This record gives sequence, structure tokens and C-alpha cells, in this order.
Amino acid sequence: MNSMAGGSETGAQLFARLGSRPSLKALQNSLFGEVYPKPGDLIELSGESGTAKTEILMNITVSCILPLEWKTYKLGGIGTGVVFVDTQCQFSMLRVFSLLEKRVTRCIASSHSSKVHGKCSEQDIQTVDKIVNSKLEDDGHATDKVKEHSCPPTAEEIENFIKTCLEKLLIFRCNTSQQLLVTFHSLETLFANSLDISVLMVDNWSAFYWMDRASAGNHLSQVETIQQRMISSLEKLLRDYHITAFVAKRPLFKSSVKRDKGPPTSGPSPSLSSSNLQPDDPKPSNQDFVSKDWNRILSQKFQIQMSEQPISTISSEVNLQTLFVASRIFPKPVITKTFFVSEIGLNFLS
Amino acid sequence: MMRQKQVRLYISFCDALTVSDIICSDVEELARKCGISYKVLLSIRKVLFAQCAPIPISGANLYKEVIASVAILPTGCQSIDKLLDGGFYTCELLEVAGPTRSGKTQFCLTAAASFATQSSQNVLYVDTTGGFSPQRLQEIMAKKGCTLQVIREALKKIQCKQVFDIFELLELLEDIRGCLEQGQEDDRPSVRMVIVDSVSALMAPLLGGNQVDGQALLHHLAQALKILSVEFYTAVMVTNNVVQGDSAEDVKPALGRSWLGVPHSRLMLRYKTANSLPGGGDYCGAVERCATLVKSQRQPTGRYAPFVISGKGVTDS
Repeated sequence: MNSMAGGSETGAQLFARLGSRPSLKALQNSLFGEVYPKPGDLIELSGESGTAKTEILMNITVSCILPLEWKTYKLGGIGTGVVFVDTQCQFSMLRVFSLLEKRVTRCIASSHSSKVHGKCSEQDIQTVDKIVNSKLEDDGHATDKVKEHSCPPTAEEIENFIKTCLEKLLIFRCNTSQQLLVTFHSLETLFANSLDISVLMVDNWSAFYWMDRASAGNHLSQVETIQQRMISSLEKLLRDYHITAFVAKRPLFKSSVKRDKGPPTSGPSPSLSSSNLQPDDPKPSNQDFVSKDWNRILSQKFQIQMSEQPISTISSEVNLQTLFVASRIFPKPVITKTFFVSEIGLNFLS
Repeated sequence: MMRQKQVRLYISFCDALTVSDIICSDVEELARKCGISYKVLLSIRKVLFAQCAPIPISGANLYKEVIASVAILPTGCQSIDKLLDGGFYTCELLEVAGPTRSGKTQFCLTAAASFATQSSQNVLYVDTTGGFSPQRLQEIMAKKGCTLQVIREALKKIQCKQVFDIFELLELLEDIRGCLEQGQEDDRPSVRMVIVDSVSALMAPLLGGNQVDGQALLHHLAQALKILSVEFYTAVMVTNNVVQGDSAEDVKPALGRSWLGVPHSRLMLRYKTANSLPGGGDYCGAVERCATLVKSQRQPTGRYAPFVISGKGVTDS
């Protein structure tokens, strides 16, 4: 709406545009390294089924909705709201809750053990303690606070705290591409009204492709129209409301190199086919349904694969784990990270 | 009132005919084209949002719902229960994939038997291959030490429906959904577990050839199964065949890549060693088999549990 004339913007929209949403700098440590997602960025996670895409999204969600600190414990979260658009019922509340719980209890345990033993294994714990101590000295009720810190919160307190964190999460379940489109448009109002939401997750973007293809019949251009509409509405959210979007995608077609066996899949028409980001790559990425506009608004693209490396050679601790390799294939240079999934979430191997 | 107005307006639109057309088009331009005031168009948009957009659930509310509704149902085999972190979760779609005679149907029968003897709710067993056997169910229950009375009660709770084409199955799932939506008004216990053995038998003929229709049907089926499990907190289990992958030892679930991501969890069943299996068809023999967790949202993948098929159904080796 606000694209047509300068005067048609509402005050709330203006405020949402100019006001600052929480920064995602705390995501530095995970997948992203120094190039952490900025407002207006679109980050694509692409990978086959079972390559922990949803898991990554849920981990980012957890980092986003946890606050920076709770009581005296430094949780290292961001404390921002998240909108999770779930197109395939993949979101698992049980998993998110246990991730939150594990992260909170681990922070509490590590801050206590460092207190008791008087030694710090990690640097950031040291700094936490410094912050805590300086705060305690500033406060008049130092002894009270020390007491509070020395006895860890009860399980019930932790559960209640996690519930308040979960208030920041909104889940939309979509069953058709039309519903997804309407959701994107209706999110404008939500983002305009609430400044503390800064992240949009879509899991996963290509879910309705075959349904659209079937309902379009011979009019393949309809499929592209739907895609373009969704992309432009997503772009509007990114540009006008400074949202960061994380989108999971699954390649729809088999990669062309491996197509020597079996019947050839009915590929997309040439106008719809993937414009590969790395034509000179020896191992081409799987074919995907990508329209040109998608690559235009894309900020970062990660490709996730299961590791082919024999697992036992890396570490004996992780011999039962499946290893995943996430490579940032856009923009260049390519950055590759190896991780495995455990109870506490993603573990990156350095 | 609003609806009537809307219907009239739909007719007067020249180009905009679908909901997405109206939502995506520029409001001012539309107003000029149709001669409808800008304000009315904005309120139409609002109504369309209210009608078509999904209702958001806050994380805290979803958590409350999940805690209140999710149950963990035993599979009847302790080592596999352990692998699945307790058993079937009633909010998940589990797929059991494996080659012929790897024990898929036996796993389903054991799960149905152990659920029916321990719970007051019903099991729906959708049989697409003719593999359902009430005699075997009775044998499993009897070998597990149930009395005749218990067995009789339990067998009443297992409803078997033979389905031989995909449309029948979609209709059946729609019916169950309707029943669950109405709630527990009548005193009949509701269905809490749905088993489809096997989904590949229905879908395989539709894939290949004209890909698009088959893929769309597959998607409809996936959605129907997932809505049952996620929104109505029912344990849904399907079995699937396997196909040969790129290399000889690479075995993957059938039905293609778009199905791969559909189940929340996937167990792959196989014989422990290929040559340990004699030529005979002695499925009750204690050939050692193995279940590997290849996909899960809550558990580390790649772990496996050995099991055997005996008179008690699928049990620990």
C-alpha cells in the first residue's frame, strides 16, 4: 500500500519502519559467523529431507525468543518475537520446549559450577560473573542477591519462565499456497503493530509446488504467477518492515548429474528451471524451482547435506551421530561448517 | 450483510476473481477499475484476511495444548520404544519403511495389539494389501499373557478397514477428521491410533508417467495424515516399501523425494545380515532384524535397535 504514494503510510507503519527492531547479532556464534543476519535479509536454507533444516530453524527460534538474561543468568538470547509459518506441520513444540529447557538449565548449571569451584572454563562465564558481581556491588541488597544466585531456580520457576518466552512465538499453519499468500499479506498489519517481532521463518517454501502444478493444469505460467506473488509480498515485508526472513526449501527435482539412472523426472519448463548460483561448481546443487526474483532478494543461501565423511575418524564421542555439512554457497566465498544435532541443539565442530 | 455485499462486489470486479487476485492487486487501481470506494475495498481485504488467513497460535498456548493432549503409546517392543523415546507420540506421523518381509506388518500388528490391550481408545487399521490378520492379533495377545476376556475386549477396539484405492483412503481420513472435529459427544471411544499398511501399495501405481497428478495426490494424502496427527493428536503410522538407491547398499524409502520429508519420524527395518535368512518363509522364526531411526525431530538419528519376530509379535532379541 505504501508503495504507491508517500502520503498513504499510516503512522504505525512509519514508526515500524523507522523504529529499530532487535538486532540479531547474537546469532554470530552459530551458523552465520561474522555475517550475521541483518534486518531485511532473506536467508535460504536448502537441503534434502532429513538434513536438519527444521532443526536449524527451531534452534534460531530458540535463540531469538530467549532474553539476553534472566535473573542473574546470562542466557545469551536476543529477546525478540518470531513468526513461524509452518506449511507442512513440521514444527515440533516438544522439541522447542526441550531446547529451551536444556539451554536454560545449562546456563544455570555452568554459572553455578564456576561459582562453586572458583574456576572458569569458558571465557564468557567469567565475564558473566564479572557482570553479576559488579551488579551485586552496585545493588544495596548484595547479600540477598548472592543468596538468590547460590540457590538455583526450581523446575517450576524455569517452566514458567520458558512459558513467558514462548509468548513471543507465533505459529501460523498453512495448508495451501493461497493461505500462505494471504498470511504474508496479513502479516503486514502484525509487523506494523508490533515492533518487537523481527524474525519470520517459513518452513518450507516449496511445500505446495505440486499442488499448484496440478491445479494449474497446462497453464504452467500460473505456477510462476503464484511464486512471484509470494516473493513480492515477502519482499515487501523485508523491505518495509525490516524483518529478517529464514526460509527452508527442499529441492524438488533430482540433480541433473545423477540422472543417469531411472526414468527422467518431468523437469520444469525452461523458463522455470533453476538458475544455478554456481555454474562452475563441480557438484551442482539440486534442481529447484526458483524464479528470478527469488535470487534478486536473496541475501544468503546455505546448502545443507549429510556428511559423507566416515564419522568415526572425527571424534569418538560423536560416533553415533549423523554429521551434517552446511555450506554458504551465496554470497562468495563459500564457507563450510560441520555440525551434528544433539539434545541441546546444534553442535558445530571447529 | 457483509457477505452479501461481498458477493455483489465479486461479480462487478472485472479482472480480480480469486482471493489472491484481490489481495495482491493494488487497492487504488482496483478502486478505479471497479468504481468501488477505496474504503470498502480495504474492508473487503480485511474480511478476506479474517476468512482465509490461518489463525496464529502463540507458542505458550500451543505448549499448553501439547502438554495436555500428547500421549506416548507403546509399540510393544521395548528396544524400539527406547529408540523412539518412549513409543509413538500422538502428535507425530511415523513411517516404517523396509523391504518385503522385514517385519513391517508384524510391527503394525504388535503395536495395534499392545495399544488395544492397554488403552480404552480405538485403533483404526487401514489394510491396503490384505495383510491384516485377526488370528495373528489374537496369537500375539495370548502369547503376551492376556486372558480371553481381555483379548475379546481388545479385538473389539481394533477396527480394520480394507482400502484398495487412494480416493477411498482420502475419504476415510476425511470421515475420521469429521468425527474428531465433532468431539466426544457420543460415548463411543474415539480413534487414537491410525495405521496404514501400506501406503506405497496405494500410491505406487499413481506415480510415474504423468508425475503431476500423482504428486498432487501424494501431497493431499500427506496433508490428511498430518492434520490427523498434529491437529487432532492421533498417533498415525504408515508403512512404506523401499527402493534401490544409487549404489547397491543404498536403500531408500519408496514414493520419491517429495514424500521423504513428510513423516516426522522414520524407522527403517532390515534383516541384520542378508545371508542369515534361509530360503523358507518362516516369518515367526527368530531371524534377527534391526530397526534404524533415520529421521526424527527429537532423537538423534542413525541409532538402531535389534528385534526379532516371535509368537509375541515384534520383541527384543
